[in-house]
Amino acid sequence: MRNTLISWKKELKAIFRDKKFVSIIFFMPLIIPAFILGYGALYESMASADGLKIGINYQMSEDESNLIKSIDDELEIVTKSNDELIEAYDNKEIDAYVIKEDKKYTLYIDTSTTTGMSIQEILKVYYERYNMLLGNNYLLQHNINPNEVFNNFEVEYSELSKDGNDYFSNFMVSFALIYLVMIITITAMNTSTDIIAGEKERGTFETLLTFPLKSNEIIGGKLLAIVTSCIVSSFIGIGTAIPALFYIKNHGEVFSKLNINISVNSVLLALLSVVLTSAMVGVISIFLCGKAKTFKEAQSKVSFLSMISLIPMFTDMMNVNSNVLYMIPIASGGTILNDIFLKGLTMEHMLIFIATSIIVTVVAIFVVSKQYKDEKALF
Amino acid sequence: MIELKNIVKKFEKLDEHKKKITLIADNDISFEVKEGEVVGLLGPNGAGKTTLLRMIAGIMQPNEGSVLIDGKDYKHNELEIKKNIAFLSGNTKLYKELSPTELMDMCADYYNVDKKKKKKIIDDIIKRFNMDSFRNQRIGTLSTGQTQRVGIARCLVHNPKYYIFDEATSGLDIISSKVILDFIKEEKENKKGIIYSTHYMEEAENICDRVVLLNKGRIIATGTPEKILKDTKTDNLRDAFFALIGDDNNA
Repeated sequence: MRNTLISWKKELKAIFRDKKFVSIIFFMPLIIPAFILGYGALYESMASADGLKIGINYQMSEDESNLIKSIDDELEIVTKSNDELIEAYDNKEIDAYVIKEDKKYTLYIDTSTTTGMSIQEILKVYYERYNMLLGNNYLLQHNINPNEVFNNFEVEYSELSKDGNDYFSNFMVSFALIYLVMIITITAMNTSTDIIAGEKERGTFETLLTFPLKSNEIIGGKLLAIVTSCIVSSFIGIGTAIPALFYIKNHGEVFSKLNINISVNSVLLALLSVVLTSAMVGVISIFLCGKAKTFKEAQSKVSFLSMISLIPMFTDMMNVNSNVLYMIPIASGGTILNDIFLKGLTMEHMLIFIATSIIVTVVAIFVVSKQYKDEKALF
Repeated sequence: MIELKNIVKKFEKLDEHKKKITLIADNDISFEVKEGEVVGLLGPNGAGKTTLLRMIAGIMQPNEGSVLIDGKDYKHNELEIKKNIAFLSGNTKLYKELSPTELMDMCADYYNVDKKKKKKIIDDIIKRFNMDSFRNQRIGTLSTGQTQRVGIARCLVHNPKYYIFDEATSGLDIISSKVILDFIKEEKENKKGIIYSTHYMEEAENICDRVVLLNKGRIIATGTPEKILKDTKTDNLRDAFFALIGDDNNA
């Protein structure tokens, strides 16, 4: 154990003094809070008309003005001639414009932008309601009660989601958690290729083998260093993601409903999951790197691991729900983190995840310890 | 004493038709190295020198035969034997992220050097090799000559009984090579057993008590340089080597 710890210390020095690894371990996780804040701001801007300006070529009646204000009172409407509208749009003075000819309204909107999409949604609702308003007025003029014509039935929406999250907030948090597992995987892939295959290629592995160390102690030190790097990286990710989530929850309208389970228990379970995933991906990376002769060969051998970490994203999209998801090495990390923070964790799933992770890690350590006793893995 | 008894080392490789073939890197190699003796291992590329030295250093195992260090084999006494050996190869690189002091400190920890004595040992080695000006600089930033000195210095930390040098002067200028050759002479005086493999036959003639000439994995001659020159009726080991391989030269 003493020699393993000396090896661990040596590997950590090598990892944390390398600028490439420092950027991977310390800066890559910062993409998670950046993503949360960026996505949050984007979605908020899509859902709000604040600062939006629409040009029209006709004078709105009082009814029309009241109607549009009832939909969104932040929206600004300006009236101009047709040519002035086109010029104003080109000069970016307005975000979209409407040209009325007789009974036809043509909406000029750039729907490739979030602003355009927001305006399209608002105007769609507005013109449906305006059409209804004109219909109501017509019926009233002819002494017909509009309620007897239109209100044949009542529609009410009731939220079925237990946690109250909507699709977009679910997607955002889920993606951030899957990305966290991807960061763990990328950290493990990069550190293992360097400290296993890179060390072989640089010729320092030969020196290491001349020391009075067992191969298990050498590999044990390397595994500990890889796992440590992954844990540091993921803790930075979790540590910065949680304040970012609280920020968007407290400073935005859309995510005020965001209901993620952040408690001492959930954070501890997440950390346990991260440690287990790190150990699992670390030892698998070491195994794959042992089969490579060069750094580049090792890189290509481990590259598919990052794809595995994305599996929960696809299973989530396809609404797959099976115990098998908690048994897939690496991918199970993303699945269990989603359960912990979003979907609700069951004891059964947590136990399946823990048991599978431990079994995979122990078996992989056993295989790796055998592998590195063979000269083929060393030279 | 280091004893090699009938060492055979085979490797399996794939030929151009992707068929498995067996290459014999070393075939029936036997010799010994006593304390206070410098034994040169000479031969062209592919003669089996590096593989042989790796087996002596315990980082490869022979398929047949045995390597005994002070009567003990690696199978049962690997860690104990490795504590008495230092291996320096011309191809071996050092950890560029560490400083010379940190590298020696790490080596001392691996060799379980007494913590109270460790600092003095490292300071003495740094003084001996005049490394004070760059002792805390990262190895990656050092010149080739400075790096070579660090390479030798780390071999001394555990005060080994035996040194194994594999092409240690290969690619070095004459000043850097002299540091290694002087070191070998000093350690010989300190009664250390040294195995020294090189391409440079002149170097071997100067510092080796005995030489082992290898070609295609087999010993073709062994003895003192004087004896080999006398037996082959040549003036230097280079000519002696060509005289010994004869027609095999063109093979």
